[in-house]
Amino acid sequence: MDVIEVDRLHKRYRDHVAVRDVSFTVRPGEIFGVLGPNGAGKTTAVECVAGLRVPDGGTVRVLGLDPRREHDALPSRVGVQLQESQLPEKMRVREALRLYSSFYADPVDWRRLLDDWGLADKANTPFGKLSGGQKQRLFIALALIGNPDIAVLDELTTGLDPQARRDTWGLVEDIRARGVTVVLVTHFMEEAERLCDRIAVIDRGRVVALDTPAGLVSTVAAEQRIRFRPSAPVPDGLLTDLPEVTSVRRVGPQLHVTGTGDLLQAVTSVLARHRIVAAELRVEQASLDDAFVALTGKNLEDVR
Amino acid sequence: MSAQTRVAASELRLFLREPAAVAATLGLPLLIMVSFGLIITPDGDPIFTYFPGLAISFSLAILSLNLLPTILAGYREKGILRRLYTTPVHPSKVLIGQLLVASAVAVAMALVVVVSGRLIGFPLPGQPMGFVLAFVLGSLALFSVGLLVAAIAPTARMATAVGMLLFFVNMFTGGVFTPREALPGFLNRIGDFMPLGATMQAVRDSWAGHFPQLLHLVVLATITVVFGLASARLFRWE
Repeated sequence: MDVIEVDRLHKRYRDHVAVRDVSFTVRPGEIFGVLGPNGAGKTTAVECVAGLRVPDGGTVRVLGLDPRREHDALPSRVGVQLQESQLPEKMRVREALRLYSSFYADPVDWRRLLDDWGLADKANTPFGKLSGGQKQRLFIALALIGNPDIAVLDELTTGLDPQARRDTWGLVEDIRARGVTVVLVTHFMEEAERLCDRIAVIDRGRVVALDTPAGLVSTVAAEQRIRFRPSAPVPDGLLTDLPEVTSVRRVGPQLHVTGTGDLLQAVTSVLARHRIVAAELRVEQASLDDAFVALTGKNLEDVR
Repeated sequence: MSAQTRVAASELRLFLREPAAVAATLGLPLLIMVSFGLIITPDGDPIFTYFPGLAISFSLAILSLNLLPTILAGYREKGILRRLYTTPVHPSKVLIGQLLVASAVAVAMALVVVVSGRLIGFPLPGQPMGFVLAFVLGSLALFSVGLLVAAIAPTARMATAVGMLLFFVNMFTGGVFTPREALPGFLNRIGDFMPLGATMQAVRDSWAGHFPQLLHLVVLATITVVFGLASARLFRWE
């Protein structure tokens, strides 16, 4: 059974529609990405999932429950890390974990979380004195403290330096390894590509694509390029006749082949059949970035 | 320990970590009692009741019109209340926790004022039941005003500004900055209907040995009900 079902979700604020007809499902045990530029409606959509907002239309089911009407049953099963939420400046790390763990019937041992998330030497540090990365780790720990089935992480790595961001990714993979389903809201392409099993790309309140990272890249039919030096002359038409190939160009001793789909497999197998070896083989693949630009007409890094 | 107790204990710990808050609500009343107790000799003149009245009213005003709105609006602004909504504990526990802390601080402050006053030479409140009634109703009325500010102020900064304005208006009209005896009649008339003015006068009356005037008790009870209900209705968690 899908752990989260969102069906034709609609949410408008006074002057604009934040989310229109958004549908997606999240499977147990996966890392599900919600990717899109700022203001695309990502946060609104997951806040409806977390029961923080009331949808104007459509249905949301989380673990079979209505997040708003059956709210009381959800917090013990869904851990949430909210964008831009804080703690009182003078509350210490240890105190925050102990206090929040007392809210749950079956909490994780907060001392273990302290170790797991590298906060043991910060246990007595007030929240206001933590670095950005330490705050984020504390919020992840707080999201996991109730032993949830689902963790919703909104803009987890925003504001972190690249090293801290990479460290955090490892931690998210650890969460999944413990059997927790993760919903990850992000506007970082690299993050989505690295972590997510499936991604919903949201733009201007709509889901414009929903697939695996690799699937997203291939569905936009982004061009792939192969470069190699053939060990023997390649007959005219040998490559251009392949349905995957769109063009072949000779550049000095090299051939530059562009195409779509399973281009590499098609080219190498036909070469092998003709006993031609492809030396200095280089494959340039489209990235999720290219897919995103094709889907939304925007460059994510530009619109941030 | 229930979640409510834990939240209240946590709020109390955070309160005690703010030296300025502790100094203004507990230290200053003590200072007022001790310093004026050394200067004046309380005799039959009811003006002496100004000093314990000042100590109690000033501390309650800081607690309810400055600290309470700023802290609660700050919690909302920082997403702390919203974050709690995603846990099994409703954010109202924080609000109640804050009220419990404010009540505990107020009671401690009243004890400090009464005991230090006694030690330095002030008489005990002449009408103890009336004093307790004036103190409890005054605290409740002022807390509900502070809560309403926290409820409607969009930001912590705004809550602080509105709280400050109310603080000074109340201190001025309520005969707290300047004794009622030295204020013009129309200001005293306004002060009778203000939460701090009614508290001040009811505390002074009870200290002098009279039961507080019905007018002041009715004003305080009305403010508590009206502002309390309004803030319960208008309070937003985000």
